[in-house]
Amino acid sequence: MPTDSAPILRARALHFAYPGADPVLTGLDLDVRSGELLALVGPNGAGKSTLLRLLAGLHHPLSGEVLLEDRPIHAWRPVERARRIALLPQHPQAPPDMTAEEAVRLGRYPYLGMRMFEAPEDLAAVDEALRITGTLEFRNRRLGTLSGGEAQRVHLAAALAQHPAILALDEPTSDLDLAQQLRIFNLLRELVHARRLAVIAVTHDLNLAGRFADVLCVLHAGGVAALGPPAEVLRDPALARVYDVTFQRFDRGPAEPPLLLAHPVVTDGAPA
Amino acid sequence: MSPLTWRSLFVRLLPWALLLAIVLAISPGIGTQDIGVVDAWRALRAPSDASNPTAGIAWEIRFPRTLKALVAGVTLALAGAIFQTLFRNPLATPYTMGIASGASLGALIAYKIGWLHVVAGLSTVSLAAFIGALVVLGVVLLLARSSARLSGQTLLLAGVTIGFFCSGMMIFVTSLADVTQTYLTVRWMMGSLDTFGGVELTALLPIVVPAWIIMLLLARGLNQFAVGAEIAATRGVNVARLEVIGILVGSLAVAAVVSLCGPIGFVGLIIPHLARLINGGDHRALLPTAALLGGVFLIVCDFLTTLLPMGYAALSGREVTVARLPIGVMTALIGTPVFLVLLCARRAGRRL
Repeated sequence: MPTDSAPILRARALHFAYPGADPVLTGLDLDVRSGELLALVGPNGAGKSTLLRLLAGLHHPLSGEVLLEDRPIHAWRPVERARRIALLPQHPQAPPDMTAEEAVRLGRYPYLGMRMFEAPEDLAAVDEALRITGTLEFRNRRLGTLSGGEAQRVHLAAALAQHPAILALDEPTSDLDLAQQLRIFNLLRELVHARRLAVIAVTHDLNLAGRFADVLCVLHAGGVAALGPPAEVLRDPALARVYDVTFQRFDRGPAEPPLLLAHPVVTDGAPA
Repeated sequence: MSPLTWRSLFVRLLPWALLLAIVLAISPGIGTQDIGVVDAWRALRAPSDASNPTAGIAWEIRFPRTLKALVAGVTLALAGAIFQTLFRNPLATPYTMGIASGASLGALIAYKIGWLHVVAGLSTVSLAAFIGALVVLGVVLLLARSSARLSGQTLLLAGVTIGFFCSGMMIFVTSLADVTQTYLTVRWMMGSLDTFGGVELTALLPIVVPAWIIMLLLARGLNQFAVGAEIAATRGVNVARLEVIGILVGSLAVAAVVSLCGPIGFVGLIIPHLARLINGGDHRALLPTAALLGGVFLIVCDFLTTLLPMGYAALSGREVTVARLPIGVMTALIGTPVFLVLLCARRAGRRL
């Protein structure tokens, strides 16, 4: 488990609420390390996407702080921050007539400085991002003509062209079929191991998270309900209460994360 | 498309710049009086006085008109393109959002109550147009804010409604005028390059030209905004500043143009779409393309405002009552079919 390094991104006692709404996060702590894939899971409304946005510096917490390389995230100049952390929202709204390569080129924005156009080194970074994500072959296709999995790999390529140290992904596989889900997560694994990226991925799929994540973080009631290696967290009895279900567990060995099958909670006398 | 560079951008813009140069060059030869292009250019060498009316007409009446059309076309096309991106709606322009109507109403009221001075080099009619535009902008944003987030749909509905209100107010204000005044104001309300309320092109250039530069410089930020405000923000774009500058500068530039030549519709709506079809959606190419096309479009429309009545008179052998149509009539007559074709093309191929 590559957890030797100091955290690159830290959340300290984060409190957050949207204006006029109930608190989403109440004193949350979390460390994100390079070379680690951290899966953020939890029921709807647990604050997964909100936490992701806070970690990416899109929101200001009511109290507490987010530290990027030990410096408050809002103390960074926006383009400097953008060279370290890239966000892929759940539903990117890229115009359908934009080509894949044009979309990926946009990832170079933090490196343009005063330049109006991309330099050769920017285009080299774009080519590399297209190559890694296997999207070179349709670099000239319009986004509107791509399948969901292909488009998602293009958006991932745009984030990689940004050369971030941290990649924050909001449900990167939610609209994808099984083969594409595996493809995306295998790619993320490779980036984490070969390039020592820190990846934070929000997902609803506990088994997918268990299979690919180094660290599983379960959000519930404004804080972290469970945190650790998937093999431990997925055996945590608290997990069933968090999701308000019962889990049927299929163990694959003590070191392996178990597979979980959820069942509705049966209350007395009333079959669900 | 190959990556944009200064060089490839130049190549992509060149045909449209040449087209603009051509229409500018022939413009002194086109008008109600029968002066050919060659005569007009020849007259340029001769001194302009009573003995040389050709030069006077060509270079003191026609060419300034053409420059007005150019300035209006560039401004409306740029502002339209920026509004479409910032409101994520292909129908959002300073016109459909009611801002041009507010500017028109402001200018008209100033004209009607006789608030006709020059303040800091600017006609009070222009100032009133700025105020009208800002008031409508404020109301539209307030309405949209009160109904959840800045949704393009809500803003558009609010804008269209306020636009109708302003039009009604304008008719009301106009109907209080005497007949000559009414004729002039009605023409101006349709969009016209005739002089109105003492607003001079030269006085507005120090406002409009910097606005062009600012709008063109927003190109990179707008590219990021087009793929989502959140992604843009995480890549280092100051999204709030981009929105405020884009909307404010676009609105004020349009208000300046409205005070100069009335509300000329359709330019901001169709020219950005045409530019997108020609040179793609990258704002670094889209904005200058739209600017050039907007200029060409309005100059050609200005030609047609005289050529069409002349052609009708020649073919029918009848006198025409109006020698020159208001330019807004031409943009509407051409703009509507073009827009419908674009709409159908969009449904068919999802190109827009």
